Amino acid sequence: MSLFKRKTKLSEHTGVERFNLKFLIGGTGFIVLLLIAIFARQLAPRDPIAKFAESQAPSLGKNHLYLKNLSSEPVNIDELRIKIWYRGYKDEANEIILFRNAALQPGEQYNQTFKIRDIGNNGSINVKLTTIAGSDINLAYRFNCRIEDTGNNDGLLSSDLKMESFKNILFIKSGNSACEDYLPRHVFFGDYQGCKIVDHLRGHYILGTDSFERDIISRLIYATQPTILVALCAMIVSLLIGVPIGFLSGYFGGTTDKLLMRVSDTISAFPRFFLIISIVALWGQNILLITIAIGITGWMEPARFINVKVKTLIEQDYILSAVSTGRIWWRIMYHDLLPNILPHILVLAAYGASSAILLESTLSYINFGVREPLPSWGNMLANAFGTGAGSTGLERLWQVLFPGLAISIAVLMFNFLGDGVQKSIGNEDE
Amino acid sequence: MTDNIVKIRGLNKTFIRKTLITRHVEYIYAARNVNLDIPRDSFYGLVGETGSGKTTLGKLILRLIEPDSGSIIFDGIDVTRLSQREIRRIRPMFQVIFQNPQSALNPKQRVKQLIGNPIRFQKKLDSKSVEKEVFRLLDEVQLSAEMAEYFPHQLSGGQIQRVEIARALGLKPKLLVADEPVTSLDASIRGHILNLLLQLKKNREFTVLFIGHDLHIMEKMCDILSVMYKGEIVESGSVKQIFNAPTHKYTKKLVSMRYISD
Amino acid sequence: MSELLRIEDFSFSYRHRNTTISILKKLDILIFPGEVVGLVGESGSGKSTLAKAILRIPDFKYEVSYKGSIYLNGNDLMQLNDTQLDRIRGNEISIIFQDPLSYLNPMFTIHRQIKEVLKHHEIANGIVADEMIRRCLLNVSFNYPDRIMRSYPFELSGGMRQRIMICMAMITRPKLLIADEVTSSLDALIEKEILDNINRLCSDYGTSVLLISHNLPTILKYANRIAIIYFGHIVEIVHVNNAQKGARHPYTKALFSCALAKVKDGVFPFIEGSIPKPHDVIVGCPFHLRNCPRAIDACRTTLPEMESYDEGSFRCHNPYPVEG
Ligand SMILES: Nc1ncnc2c1ncn2[C@@H]1O[C@H](COP(=O)(O)OP(=O)(O)OP(=O)(O)O)[C@@H](O)[C@H]1O
Ligand SMILES: Nc1ncnc2c1ncn2[C@@H]1O[C@H](COP(=O)(O)OP(=O)(O)OP(=O)(O)O)[C@@H](O)[C@H]1O
Ligand code: SF4
Ligand SMILES: [Mg+2]
Ligand SMILES: [Mg+2]
Repeated sequence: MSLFKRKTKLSEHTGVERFNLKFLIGGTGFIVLLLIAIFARQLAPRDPIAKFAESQAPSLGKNHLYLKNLSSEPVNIDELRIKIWYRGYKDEANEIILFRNAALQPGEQYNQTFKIRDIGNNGSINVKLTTIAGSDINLAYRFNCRIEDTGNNDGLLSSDLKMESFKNILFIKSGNSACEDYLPRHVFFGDYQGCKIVDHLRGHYILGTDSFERDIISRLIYATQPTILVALCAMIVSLLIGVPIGFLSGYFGGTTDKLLMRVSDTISAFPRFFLIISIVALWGQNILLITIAIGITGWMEPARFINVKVKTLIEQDYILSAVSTGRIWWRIMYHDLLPNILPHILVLAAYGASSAILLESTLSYINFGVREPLPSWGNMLANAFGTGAGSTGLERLWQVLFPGLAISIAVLMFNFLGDGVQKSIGNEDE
Repeated sequence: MTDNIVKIRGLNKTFIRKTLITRHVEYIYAARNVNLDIPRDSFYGLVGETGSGKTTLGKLILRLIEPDSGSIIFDGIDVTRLSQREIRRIRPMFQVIFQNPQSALNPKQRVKQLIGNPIRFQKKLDSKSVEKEVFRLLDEVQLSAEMAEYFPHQLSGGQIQRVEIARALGLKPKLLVADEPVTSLDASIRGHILNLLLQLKKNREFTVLFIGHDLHIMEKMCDILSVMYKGEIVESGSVKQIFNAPTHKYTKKLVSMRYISD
Repeated sequence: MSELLRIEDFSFSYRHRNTTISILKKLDILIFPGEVVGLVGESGSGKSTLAKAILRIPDFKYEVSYKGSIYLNGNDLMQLNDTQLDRIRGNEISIIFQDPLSYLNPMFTIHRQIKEVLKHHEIANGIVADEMIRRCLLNVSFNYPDRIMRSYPFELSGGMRQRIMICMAMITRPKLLIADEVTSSLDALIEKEILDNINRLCSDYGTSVLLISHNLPTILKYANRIAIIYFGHIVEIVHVNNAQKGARHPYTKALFSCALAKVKDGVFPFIEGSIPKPHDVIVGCPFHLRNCPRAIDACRTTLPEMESYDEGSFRCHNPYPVEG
């Protein structure tokens, strides 16, 4: 007959005794964000970097190929073939050779209709156009449409101009689309060049395209990657620095404490943003450095918090009794202090991550963080005001709306997570 | 009795406290020129009013806080001169039971860890024999074996105090400082703990420094008694001597109180 | 003599995770004017809960429910709304808690805080109030009331703060004073001083006192009648002269023998086991689980009813017989 009720396993380690609503919402949000970041490739309907024209995928069934020579010289094409790739495997059997040994005069256009057989998948198909292209044409970032060099060197596409000219002459158009040439940026606003909205929707541009004709939804999805990466890593970096400093200064007190806390006060006196920008300006601008910059400018707050927490805890008799058993200091920290502080560290982590997200977005907004053309919520915001942005307020708003929402939701989720853990610690203390 | 396990000479400790708003500096003399001899294997009582520095003296002997001046000779070794490393080695020899059961046990550890960890770290035993030792100790303090899995918040005040005792005894101390082990417990459980202490004292060989302010209990538990008043030891002697012929005014008041409430 | 406070069939419970946990169970207590009633019991038996429940001081974070009634001079406190109750709190019924610091505002002087009470209940103002405060502080044995009035709570020691609380509680000349463990953190000498103060003031003003403590010698010294509470039940109410010898209930007997620390054969008396937790469901008399020496079969199945005899009442199937 046990009169006592056991606590659940989770609660023993995290101190989260009762799942409250905030914790639940925050936790779910965090997991969803994490999953989106991990599976961004699979979730995003198309390449976040590819412009509209580049990413038009050939669809099953009938497709049109327009080839137009926009240069001033005649163009000889040895061979142009379409290779079908299915989930990374070349589908040799379905290769389509469009033509061999053709010549295109300046201004001449070649039209070809071809069919892609149903190969029994409902995923996307990669089509590679094979030309007799010369040197490397780096279009690897293209999603659905790739150009492969067959290795034949005496083709016409052999100089630096190639890619340009190739782009100019090559235009594959979706078989389902009734539109001519380029399509509009913003799906939901107006109809452009006679295209109906419905048509574009069918072309998977759920949220339309941005000012560079890139798919907004794909960019949103891909942008979770740098966001989560920066948020988590920066948070870990700041905790890795802050927690030990807080522990040591709180535990040993005296000169160690004064020194470390002075240092932290001094650093805290500078605006964090200024510090980050200085670091980025000094050592360059990549995602790793940004993460580290955000991390090493964020350790002061956890350090101070842990410092105070440790100081109050070591006043407790149970720590004194651990001392009186002759336990060495690092063991006391690990065995006796850490389990009591762990829930507070979780709270700090959640709040730290949320502020890291905000900082990363701000940095990207001023083009100091994740840089174009790689997507990030911050630089997506900036795009709305850049050159080539939509002319009307509504168009700009449309571009601001989704990244803005995404930032707010992510920050909110982390704050909820922090609040939730905080609240359940409160319950436990009671 | 010349064999003293603890010999304290001229011990001083002053706390300096600054009030929040007025920045007025206040000196609290928690120990003022304390001289104390605790004979080996005795049950030594320390009484005094609230804030007279009893707990502070206990902590000083354990060197959980540093004294301002004076010497504490424990079993022939001057504890105040030892470095942190050396003091750690002899720490298991003096153990303490704290005043407040709520803060005395780490809330994140199970009873078996609370009792077992000090043994494991100190004696470097394997976990099997530690476990056996834990069960033996639980039995010794009359707790059931299933309690080993409990967290402190699942225990009552008396049970917590018994776990404390088990934890302290696990290291086989020579000196046990019991800082008001029963003051915050109610009468019905108090007897348990006191009996347990008396019984353990009979079976094992160690010295107990028993801090308290309830004279009823002190009279029955202790052999020798010291009275502390405002950081000073104002009187010490055998229990009989103090009860029959108190000299200091505080002691007199205390002893007269005892007869009123009887 | 008509009673001052009548607690009738009073129950208190709270809801936690969809279970109702009852802490006080069907209490009946009478308090007569000018009388000191001691309430004793082990830690966790519900003493503080009763003290707070009388004035409906919300302390629980959970949804709480009160059942039964508490009559003060014939009108039911449980029927009053908050504003009406506010006139009673601190005016007709005052309460002093165990930890005085958390009930004194650290930002204000003692003078201001006591005056606040007088103003709130529209008793006095201005110089009259100051004079009242001065006299009251003298009454709780402060020799220099003016210095105390100017100081802030944190400048005072624990015992002094407790006396300030008494002054605050008594300045309105309440009809009932509830003193919840006012001296448990203090030593014997200060305890005596404070309780003497309370005692003197109450007999001057004709105030009844509900004196809560787990220190039995104190209760024996100051109370007229003693109510013993166990696991949310009042198990016995007994007159103080009768308490040590003539107690009928086994738990009372056991408690008293422990509290006085009379060593028999080198062994301190104690009660085996510990008080059940509030969420435990217990059939029968809750004391039979702790090896009640007089337990009979009925104790395991049915909870005994309150029985009265001419010197008190108790709740037991097999009480000790009346002596003599
Ligand atoms: N760390 C500290 N900093 C400042 N003052 C302290 C500190 N520890 C204790 N004191 C003060 O020293 C005095 C003696 O305290 P101590 O705890 O030793 O008293 P005690 O005799 O154990 O009292 P009690 O009976 O209440 O336990 C008190 O006035 C206390 O406020
Ligand atoms: N705020 C609260 N929330 C939940 N349970 C509570 C709360 N306050 C008290 N309890 C429970 O109610 C029961 C009675 O508590 P109460 O404080 O009235 O006991 P007590 O007799 O005053 O004990 P003590 O002598 O320790 O003061 C206890 O078991 C306690 O766990
Ligand atoms: S009812 Fe029975 S068990 Fe309860 S106190 Fe009386 S005799 Fe003991
Ligand atoms: Mg103390
Ligand atoms: Mg209480």
